[in-house]
Amino acid sequence: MLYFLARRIAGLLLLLLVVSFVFFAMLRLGRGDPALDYLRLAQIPPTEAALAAARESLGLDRPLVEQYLTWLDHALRFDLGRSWYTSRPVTQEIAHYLPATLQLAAAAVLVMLLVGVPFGIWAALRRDRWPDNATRILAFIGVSVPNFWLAFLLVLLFSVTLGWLPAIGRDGPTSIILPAIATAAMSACVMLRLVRTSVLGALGEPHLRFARARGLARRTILGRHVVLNAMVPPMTMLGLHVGELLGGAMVVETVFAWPGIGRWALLAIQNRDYPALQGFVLAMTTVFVLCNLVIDLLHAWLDPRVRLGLPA
Amino acid sequence: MSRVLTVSGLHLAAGARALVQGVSLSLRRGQVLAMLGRSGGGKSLTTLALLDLLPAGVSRLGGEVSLDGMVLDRAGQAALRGATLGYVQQAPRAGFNPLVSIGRHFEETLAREGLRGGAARRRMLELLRDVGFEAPDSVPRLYPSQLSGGMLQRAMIALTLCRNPAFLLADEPTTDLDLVVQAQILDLLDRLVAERGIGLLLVTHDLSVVARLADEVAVMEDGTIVEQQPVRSFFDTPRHPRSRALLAAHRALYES
Repeated sequence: MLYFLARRIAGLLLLLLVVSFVFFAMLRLGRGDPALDYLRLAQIPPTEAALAAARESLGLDRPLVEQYLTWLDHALRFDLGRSWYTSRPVTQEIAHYLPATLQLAAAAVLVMLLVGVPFGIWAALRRDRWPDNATRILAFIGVSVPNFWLAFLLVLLFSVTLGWLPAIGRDGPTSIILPAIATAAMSACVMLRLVRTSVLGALGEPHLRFARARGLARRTILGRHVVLNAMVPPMTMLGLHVGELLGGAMVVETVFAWPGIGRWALLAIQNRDYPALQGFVLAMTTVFVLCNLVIDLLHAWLDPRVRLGLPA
Repeated sequence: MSRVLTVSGLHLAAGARALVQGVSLSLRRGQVLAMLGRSGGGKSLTTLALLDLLPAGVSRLGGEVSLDGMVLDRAGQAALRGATLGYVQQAPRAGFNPLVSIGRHFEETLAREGLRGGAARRRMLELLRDVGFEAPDSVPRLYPSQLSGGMLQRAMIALTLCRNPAFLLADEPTTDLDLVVQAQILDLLDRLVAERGIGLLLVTHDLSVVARLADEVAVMEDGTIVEQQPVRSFFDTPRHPRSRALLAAHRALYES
């Protein structure tokens, strides 16, 4: 188990390194002159002398790898530089905006699981009967509707017409309900269908025959031998959903004026604020990587073959 | 305790295709009935019909299962499963949930007998020792993927014994096992019949297994029983051409 954990963590650190380097290189090898962007954001007239000075102070005159290593050296000490736009430290800005986004994404994961898992199981157990058909249509609509449009519809119904839930802001526990639903809708529908397929697969497993021959109750068979086994594929898929939900949360934030990192990141992109963008990508990759580590551990906990390193 | 399990006039079909036609068998306590025949001849389906666990697509068109002369309906057959009628399948690995430890397989089965906690654990260790695990304490926390085929087959037999069944259906219990393990499993089954008075239905295509364990032999061919007689007279005077061919092939194999 320790070996498993060490190997996973090493792999994830390597991934973090590769992603940060590739993004660093892409930013600098792309069109445009970072020095020019810097001067624009600092509101300094872009004279030849100013450009040269900026290039030198930003280290843009040095080789790419050297620039990256300097950045990495600072990043390892939790120093991601200052935003060219706001001049505040990037770490501070991320620490300020990221928690709200993480909260929204976490709430969306919860909504996805609460909807996707029980309804997926229900659909599988009532295959080709009304619960299956109803959830099939619901899932089809759910994956087809864009999250920001669904957000508008939810606001229209629950805030404007019914007046049950707040339309905007992050104020009190009820304010997260609508954004979380809007963020989770598509993933929940994908999850629902995956759980359904997975349960149907588990219902066909050969070991169920021996379970029945031992005279086990239907409840035990469904709970321990069908649903437990059926949770493995959806759980491994959860890692991909986390990325989807983080991205979705940043879009939905705009509709609900949720004070997350989405708006800040959008500004950084529009302004070509290099340190902020680099920091943003690093933060999101870290969150994604950590979530996947947790999911890997859950997978190992659930499936002894993974834990023991045996063939599945 | 029940004495006789009988199936009579069993007809099984998949759609329009008849798979088993008019099979009648009786299983008595302390007796071993061997069912011989080619693969696909309906042997496994007959055992599954006794458990009312036919695969999807196969239906029972006729026949009844009775216990000590009492005809059972489907609920009656379901109540039999595990309690009166144990089932040992071939390829034991396919019988265990790979995500669930051996111990929990026992726990859930013993819970059906009302055994929990310490009592359940004692019974589990006793059963594991009984089927030949020399260090039964180490077995419960293992997962199926950590056990060999022979160990799994023993564990499967021990699981089957959890509820003290009067009858045992063993569907090719030694296929896929190496020769030494095969012999051990057969010894174990033999001992269960002798010590516990279990009535054993042994599905096999191995005549040496028949010679060793069986009291009576039924030969199945294309879904019907073509011959049934005591084991001694079966080996001396086989009546059906299929039985004679089987015996001739067996002798040729062992005399060469």
